Amino acid sequence: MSDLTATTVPGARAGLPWGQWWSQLRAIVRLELRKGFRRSFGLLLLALMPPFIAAMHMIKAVRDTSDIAGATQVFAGLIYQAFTLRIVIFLACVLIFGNLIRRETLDRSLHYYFLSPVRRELLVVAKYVTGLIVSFGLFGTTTVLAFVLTYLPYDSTAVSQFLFHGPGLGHLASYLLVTFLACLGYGAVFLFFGFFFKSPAMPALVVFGWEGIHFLLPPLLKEISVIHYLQSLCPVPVSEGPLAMLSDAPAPWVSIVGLCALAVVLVAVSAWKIRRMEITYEEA
Amino acid sequence: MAVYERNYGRYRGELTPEWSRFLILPRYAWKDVLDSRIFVGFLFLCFLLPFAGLLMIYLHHNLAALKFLNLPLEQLQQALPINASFFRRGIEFQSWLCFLLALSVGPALIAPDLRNNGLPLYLSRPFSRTEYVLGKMMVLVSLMSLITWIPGLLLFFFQGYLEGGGWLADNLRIGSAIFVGSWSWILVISLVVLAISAWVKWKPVARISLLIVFFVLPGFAEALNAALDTWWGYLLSLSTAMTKVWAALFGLEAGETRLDQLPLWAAWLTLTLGCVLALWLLSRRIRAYEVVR
Amino acid sequence: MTTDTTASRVHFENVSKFYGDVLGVNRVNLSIPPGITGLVGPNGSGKTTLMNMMVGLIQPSRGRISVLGITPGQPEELFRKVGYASQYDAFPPGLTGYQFIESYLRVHGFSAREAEAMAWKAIERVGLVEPAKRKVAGYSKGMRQRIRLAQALAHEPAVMVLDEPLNGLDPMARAEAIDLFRELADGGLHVIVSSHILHEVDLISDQVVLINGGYIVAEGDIGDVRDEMEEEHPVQVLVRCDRPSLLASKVFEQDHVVEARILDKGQGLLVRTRDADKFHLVLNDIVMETGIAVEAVAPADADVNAVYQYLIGSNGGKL
Repeated sequence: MSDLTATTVPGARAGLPWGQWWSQLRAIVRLELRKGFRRSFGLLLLALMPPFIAAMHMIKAVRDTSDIAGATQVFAGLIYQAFTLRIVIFLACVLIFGNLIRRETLDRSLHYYFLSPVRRELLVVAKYVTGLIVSFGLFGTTTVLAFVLTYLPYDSTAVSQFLFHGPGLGHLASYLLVTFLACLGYGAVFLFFGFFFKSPAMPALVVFGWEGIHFLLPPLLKEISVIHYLQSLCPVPVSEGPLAMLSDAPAPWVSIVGLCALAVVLVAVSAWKIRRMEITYEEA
Repeated sequence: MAVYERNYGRYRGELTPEWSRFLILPRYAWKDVLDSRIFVGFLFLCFLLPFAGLLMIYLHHNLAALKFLNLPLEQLQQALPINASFFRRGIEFQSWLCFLLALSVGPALIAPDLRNNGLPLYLSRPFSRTEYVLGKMMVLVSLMSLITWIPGLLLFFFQGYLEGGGWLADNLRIGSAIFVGSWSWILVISLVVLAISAWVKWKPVARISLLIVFFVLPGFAEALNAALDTWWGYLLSLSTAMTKVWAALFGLEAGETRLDQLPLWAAWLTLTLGCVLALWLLSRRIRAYEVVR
Repeated sequence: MTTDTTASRVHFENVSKFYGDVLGVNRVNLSIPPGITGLVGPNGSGKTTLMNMMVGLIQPSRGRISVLGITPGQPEELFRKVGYASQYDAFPPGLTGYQFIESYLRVHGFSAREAEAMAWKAIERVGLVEPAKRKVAGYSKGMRQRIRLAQALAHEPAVMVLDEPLNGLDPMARAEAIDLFRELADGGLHVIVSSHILHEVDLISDQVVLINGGYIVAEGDIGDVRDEMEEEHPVQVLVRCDRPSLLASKVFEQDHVVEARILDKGQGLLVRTRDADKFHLVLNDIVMETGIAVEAVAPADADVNAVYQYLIGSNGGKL
């Protein structure tokens, strides 16, 4: 086979191979999207739930189209914080990130990546990035759609005043930031669980419970939950009921830096774990 | 002329009865689940509440023990009377343990057979699709029965025995509620988890899908009800419908204003539709072949 | 061992692998040159373990492995030079044959155009052009085997590691695959093939590695291996001739001949000797002296099959 050596070898490029890593990262993301997420109807169904609730709210809202403040409370409390953030995004992250590696172990196809000239750490990062693209792509869109649908039936002058001359767009930007950070934080947690537990559902259930009772926890324990930091970034405060333990919300920069740091640490530990991973597919 | 040596003889012995062949499936599945020490530990924990209930009933009828513990009977009867609420609280808690049990055992029942092309192996024998589903369901039904209606009825009869004086006859509704309610919940949860296991080939994803059915849908239902100021949303939530059914079976209030508004027929309809949908999904999926498009 | 040798061979240096208490392979020392190397042994003998360790899918408990001077801990360099078709009959879901090859070429870092050209070239080499646009999940067993082969060779590696690559192939595809291995080996590649089909291994291999119970029991050119076994397992030579009884009486005069058996119908003689070279010389002399008409002289147990039987079969190993 005389033409063997004539092929371009990407690894031969000089210096630190940032360019190569970048192209490999893009290739893995592309492959992951092609493999797993194009036909994920379950995720799509999850993503459509918040806009559906907002659409249902429209039916009630047409009775009083001037109550913009009421709409803001409905979106903040009911649609976004109680449902989208705490339930939908949380469980979607378990579904997406918890199975990034695990699913391929069960499929017995992980070895194809391990047999490619790609650093395993890069593989973890690329899979995490894929998860982020999918989750934020879906739930960012969901958030915008639900936001728009919530305000749609209201008086157009009042809505435009709220959006362009009031806090409206700022609220939307904050919700998008919270959605992104939720995907980033929960994503890293469940990616990490995917390496340490055979089934991420059980530990996810424990975290779900912990995040669910977060409002009952004393201030010190509240700090060990993702929702504590996410809530502090939400633009409209929501009452958590008479049983809630009051505590100071962390500063926005603390929440943002904290969640980013958590993600970096957990992805790094996952990358460390994959370096030592062996392909046996024993219990698949 | 060809010479054939006919030295192969087919089996001519006795066969097991046809009706009992589906039991081969749970036999191996039980062995698998009981091999897990974590699962055995969990199963043990599932008996803690019935045991506590047993203790409580015993204390209600043993003045010497109460005296020893320095507990006045009246105070105990006021704090924790042995009545419909006592049994309802217990059985509802056990129902949630059923969910955890289904979460742990259910996804591994059909998904691996589908992923490893095991269905043609089963269905190429004198073994129907119904028997296959029945066999798999048997695993869940037996384990769930063990922690719901069996201890529930044992406690019920124990209370009746100690109480005497026609208590059993007067409270027959409690016994029937335990039996009918448990079986309803067991059927719903078993069929749903089997349907998920049949459609989601990966165990972890199947588990998460089950979480979605039992956590996202109730959340969605609540949000829908709040947005529209209605109870129609509950038609989407199996667990909420079951709460209503439990309350009705025991002759009690559901305890939530909106849930009390939900008609009983609607709750039963939700559970029935859940079962029908699960059966339809199973019938679509449990086949001896798979079409790849 | 010189650096030059290291850079052109696959080395196992005192390699052991234990799965808990279970032995995978033990104290393996191998140096595999270019050409086709057949890895032969019964089920569970450690062939796949050796191959998986070679490419870093599993890590040795002890010892060192290098492939052309690169360790399995350097995937970025290793997999530019190594292609591995594993025994796992599984594929990423939802991909067509072409997408399967092309996507992983992109992961290698090849540009879209390069990846496309290389993917089609590999697909062509394994004869899967027509079904390449169909989902792999719908492929037959033989097609899946071939697409795995294509994936392993698509990036044009210098070392091909193929775990049971002939399994599931029909006779035609099998012959084509063997031709392909030969073509690759003639181009200077290392082609390391594990197989159960001994006559095919015998046919294609330049050298063989026999493994049993996690231990390497023999390695090298099959002829050399057979020669080394002459003392314990005398070589059998089949002589087709017209007067076998006369020939038998003559060969029995030699010390190195341990047995001579006249074939049914008296068409020849089966001789067992501890020194095949000497026997061939003596046979010439006998023929000259007696005028026996010899039709054919052929070794009867100098192939992998026989070596396998002597070294492994007698030890309880089963295919």
